[in-house]
Amino acid sequence: MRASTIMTGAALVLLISVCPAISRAESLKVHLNGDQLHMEAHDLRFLSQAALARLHDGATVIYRFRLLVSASRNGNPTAEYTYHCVFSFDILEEKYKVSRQEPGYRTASHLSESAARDLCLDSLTIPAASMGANTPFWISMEYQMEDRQSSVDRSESPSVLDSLVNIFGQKKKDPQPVDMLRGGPYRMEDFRKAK
Amino acid sequence: MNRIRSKLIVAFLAATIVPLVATVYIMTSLLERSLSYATTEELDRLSESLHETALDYYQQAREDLKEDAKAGAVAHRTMLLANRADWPGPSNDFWESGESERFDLAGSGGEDLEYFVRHEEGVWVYTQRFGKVRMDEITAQYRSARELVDLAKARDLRRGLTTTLIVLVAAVWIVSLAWLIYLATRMSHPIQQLTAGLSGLAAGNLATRIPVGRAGLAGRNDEIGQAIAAFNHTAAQLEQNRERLVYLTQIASWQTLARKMAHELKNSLTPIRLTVEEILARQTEAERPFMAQAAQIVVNEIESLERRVRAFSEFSAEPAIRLSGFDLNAVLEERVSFLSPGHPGIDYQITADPNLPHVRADADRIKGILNNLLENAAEAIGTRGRILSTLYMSDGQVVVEIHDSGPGLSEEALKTLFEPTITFKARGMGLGLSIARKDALVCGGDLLLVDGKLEGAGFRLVLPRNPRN
Repeated sequence: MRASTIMTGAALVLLISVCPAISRAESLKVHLNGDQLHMEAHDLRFLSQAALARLHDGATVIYRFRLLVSASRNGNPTAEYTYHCVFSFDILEEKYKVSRQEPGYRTASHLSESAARDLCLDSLTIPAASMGANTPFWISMEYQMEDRQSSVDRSESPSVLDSLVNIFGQKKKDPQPVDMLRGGPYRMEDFRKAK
Repeated sequence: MNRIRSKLIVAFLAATIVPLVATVYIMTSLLERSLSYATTEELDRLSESLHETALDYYQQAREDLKEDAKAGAVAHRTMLLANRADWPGPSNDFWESGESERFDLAGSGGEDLEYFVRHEEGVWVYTQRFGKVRMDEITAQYRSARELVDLAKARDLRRGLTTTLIVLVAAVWIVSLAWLIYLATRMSHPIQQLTAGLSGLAAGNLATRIPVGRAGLAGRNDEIGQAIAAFNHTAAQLEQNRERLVYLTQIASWQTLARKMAHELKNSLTPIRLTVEEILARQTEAERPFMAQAAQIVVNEIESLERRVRAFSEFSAEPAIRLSGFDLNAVLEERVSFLSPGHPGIDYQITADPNLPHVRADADRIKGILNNLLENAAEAIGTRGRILSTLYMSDGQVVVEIHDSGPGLSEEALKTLFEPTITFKARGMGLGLSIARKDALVCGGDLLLVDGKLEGAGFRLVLPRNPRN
């Protein structure tokens, strides 16, 4: 009796620890707006603590998004779209500003954190015309914060001594993790019917 | 093996390591001290303080403007929807956002605060100046300060500076060590060679020489180069002197042998000649003609042998040397003048040196040597040809070279050129060149065979210059 209780507890702990990953992996939603498929993931707080700290220091943070379209859940991507969202933070108004770099420049300011995130995700689009009407497809979204680009003005090129001090004094830095969300299977016909 | 190089390297290590370690220790200590004055933490604290102050100031300005706007204490601009095409960007952004009110910085440096309020007919914009405070500049300064703080935190400046210092000092030291090893090798190598050469010389190998044409030793003009040159010169002199000594010893042996042979032959030839004359005197008249003819043949041979005996006697004779200073130019010209009438078909040429110092030698023997060389040359040429005599100075000695346009010397002749031989040719006994070289050697010089300049034979007579010149 006691052994089975322990086993059940352990299974529950395992399930609880795995569940967020599972739910995250399945939380990417897609909706059709005009001739574009837009991404949405309201529960995704992709702005990391490091990113928020940088933003509150007045720096800009760039996130790179890759949208991969595949015919099956783990299949090879048949199409790929890359976008960059640039976030900044107004330290006086304490509001966020977000800009999408491509394919067309779009910007919005005086946003809350969640609004900035949603606006960024909503600006990630896939042309609906590239999808078959009845063909099921999956969409994976990889996102990663790009490394810091110094905005401090250093007009003089660094000397050999500066370079050596930088090399020997560099602390070990972990590479920015690449996270992923996945959604599917979708059919264009379902989106059109729902509309 | 290379002890000098090892000692130099050890001396360098001993002389540099302790000061180097002390220097690095002092410099890292100073670095530690200077880094303790670093202002990163101060900058971190000040930037945060600046942020809080600016935020408070901004929030207060917002509240004041909002209250003034409500109280109607501040005028507003009205952006009518009818004229939306003429609205500035911030007003448009505000209208599109759907917000009821919004604050924003305006002006070139953020010196104005604008308050946007949504109304039915459009947007009301209230504006208030911050005075001399430019909020955009404060924001930029805060951003820059935070970035510097982040950069400072992203690296270990103490480790970077210390490691850079140690690496650079070590690099300089290693380069110095490599340079020293190169120099030590360069310096010790010729000394090693000199030592090996001296050892070889001491072991009796007089042919030992230190190569000077190789890269690294060529053209050295320092003490080591001079020592190498002196060694090579001394070794060459020793080798030459040993060869001369051997030659003179051989000549002395041959002289002793010649003297004994001449004595024995002379003792035998005289009774033979007397006996033959006695036999001839006692012959009858009938046999006398035949016997006279036979006796004449024997006597002729005896006379021939007597001539050789005289030559041997002369060869073995060792008259005293009478050294004196004289002008070799004049002696040569005099010898050529004396001999040339006997060879009308030969063109005698002399390249004299008017600045040639006098030589110190036995003038009679030198004349004999020149006679021998000139007559040998004339004999080799035959009836028509050229003899070139050149005088010059070389290595502090006076040199005369005699070249002829004859056929040159055969390989066989070259092997025993200066050795005394017995020849039965019409003229000469085959002792001329050996006597000539012996005379040159006893005068302090030498007689050498050289490459002929006129395609024939060439000889070089070297004589010491007169120190009283």
